Amino acid sequence: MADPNLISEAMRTTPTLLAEWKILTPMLAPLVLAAISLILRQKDQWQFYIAFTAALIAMIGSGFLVFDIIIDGPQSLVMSGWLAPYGIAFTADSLSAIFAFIASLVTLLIILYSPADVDKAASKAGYYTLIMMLLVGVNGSFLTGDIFNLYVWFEVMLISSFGLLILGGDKIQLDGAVKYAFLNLLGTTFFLIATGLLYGVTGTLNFADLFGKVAASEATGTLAILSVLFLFAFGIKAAAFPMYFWLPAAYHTPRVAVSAIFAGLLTKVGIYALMRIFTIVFPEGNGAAFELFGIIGGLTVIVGGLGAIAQTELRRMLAYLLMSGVGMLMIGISIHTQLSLMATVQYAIHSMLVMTGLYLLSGVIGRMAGSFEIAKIGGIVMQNHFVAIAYFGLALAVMGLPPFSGLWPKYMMVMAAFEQGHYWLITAILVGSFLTIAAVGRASIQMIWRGGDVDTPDGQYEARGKRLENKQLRIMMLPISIIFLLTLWLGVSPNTMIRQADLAAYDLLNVEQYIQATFDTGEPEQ
Amino acid sequence: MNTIILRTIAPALTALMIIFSLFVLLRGHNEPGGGFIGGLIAASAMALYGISSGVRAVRRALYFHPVTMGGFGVLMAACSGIPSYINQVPFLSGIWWKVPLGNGDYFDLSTPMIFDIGVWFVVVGAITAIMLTLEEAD
Repeated sequence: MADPNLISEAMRTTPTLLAEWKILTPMLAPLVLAAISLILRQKDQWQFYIAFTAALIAMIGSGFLVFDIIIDGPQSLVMSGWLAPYGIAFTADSLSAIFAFIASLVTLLIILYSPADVDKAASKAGYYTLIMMLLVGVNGSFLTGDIFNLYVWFEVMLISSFGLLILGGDKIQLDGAVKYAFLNLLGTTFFLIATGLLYGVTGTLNFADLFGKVAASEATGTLAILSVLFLFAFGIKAAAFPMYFWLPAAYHTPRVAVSAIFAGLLTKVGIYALMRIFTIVFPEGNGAAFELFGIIGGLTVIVGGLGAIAQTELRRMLAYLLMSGVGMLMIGISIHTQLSLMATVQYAIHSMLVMTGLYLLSGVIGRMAGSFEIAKIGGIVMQNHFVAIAYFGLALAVMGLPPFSGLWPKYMMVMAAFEQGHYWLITAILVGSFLTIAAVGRASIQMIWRGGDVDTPDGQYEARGKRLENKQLRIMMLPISIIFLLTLWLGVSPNTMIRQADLAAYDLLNVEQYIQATFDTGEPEQ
Repeated sequence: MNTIILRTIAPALTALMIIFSLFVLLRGHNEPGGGFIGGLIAASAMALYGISSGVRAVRRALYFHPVTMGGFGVLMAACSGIPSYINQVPFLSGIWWKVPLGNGDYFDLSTPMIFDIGVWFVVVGAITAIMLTLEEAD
């Protein structure tokens, strides 16, 4: 038997409580249920319920985690009884927990929408299993406490997204998937290279351990290059300005529910990784990265807005709007104050909900009009008031107009930029918002108010769309209505979101608690 | 490839390879081996059987669909972390049980072994599923 003192230095000797397992539920529940759904994949009528349960458990687990962190500060659990930095750590602060919660909620809503969009064949081919595995990867990325495991969870997420992207196997899907897979694999490769080099320089990959070691390291040149490599790798994931091509090329090809989950979750994981790494690993930015963030963010906002105006296909337009939102998040990271990070967290939550809602709604509109080409869609307001109101609300939200949730983060972002004197970033945000308003407004005039397709004269109503069955419409509108009400609530009474975002920004800028939680041995304070 | 020599020897060789794969799987904890490499050997055995006797014979021999086996493996590996909960140690801690064999010897049963068997199922299931699909597409 080894020396007991030696063991207590590397291994945990205190019992683990049930409460500490909470941090695992957002990953473990979907993983176990995904395995069960794989075994039972011939029973396609069960798949929906299994996936629904998985997302529900993940949501409840991460919801409890959010409350726990508000009361007790960041939580951590290190696998197999080793202590950090030797063991594999899962550490959650307010940011990770609220992101995991919103991601599980979004997945739950998309699973609710799925019966209207997913046929038996796709269900048997593993649609629900892949959705659950995607949630495992996303929640894992949010909750992990170590860069290498971040990479592993990214891979879990990517592989599931490849599967979802080509499910159905149309030619256009394969075309989109090739671009998506190539650019994402490129990003992952750079991520892995940067991780390897970081390990070479510092000898550790645990976030909490890296905090002091990067600051103390003398290899400033290497670290500056590494910070830019990480920016590049996650920039691809987040679809920031020069590396965004894969997103509009791929997001309109799969079925609508898949586009919606991609839009809600995937880019936000890239943004989360940037927020985490550039506050705890490179708190100073290293290599002028913060100025770089600002330039990339500003250009992304403007290019996204311009792209949205240029598109004639509804889902491609939404892809550019999504990209414009990513630019806003990059600007928030670049300004790097409490206020700007708070705005970033809020905007990310808002964007996850609203972009998912818009993509789901595009499915309803596309189904009603029989096409996703804006020129061929028309008369939605006469066909169904409910759909028109939902589009109107979500459009206001994505533009950042009151009374929906887009207003507050945009307002705070401008305030934060103003405080720090970044006037050109304010210009970029406002120009981007203007372009967004133009694009969404034009689309809504054409799709909602125009009587029929593009040649219909004013004042005439001749929509040729097909009426949806009531039952199907109800299934599709339920998650959209929930998102509509949520974004309205967050816009009218933003206090809850602001408080949570404030905590998350505080945890990001003051990492002591995060580090303390990771290195916690479970022994009572002396 | 469908020679009489291969067709005669392949079933025997397949059986031998599967026994060897189980041996590699079980010796994995202390010596080179384990679920991944053991699974690869078993999957190669299935490939050999598939080349000599055809895909349908392999499916019949497996009885379960390979993807089901993969799912079962993931489930098993994930559930190997559950006993940690009862013992109040963090997820996936190694827990050992000594099972008496009656004659004074003990058989060491452990959660790492359950995990490894799960990995074995995942590898066999996934590789065989890919291989059979490719073989059928020809």
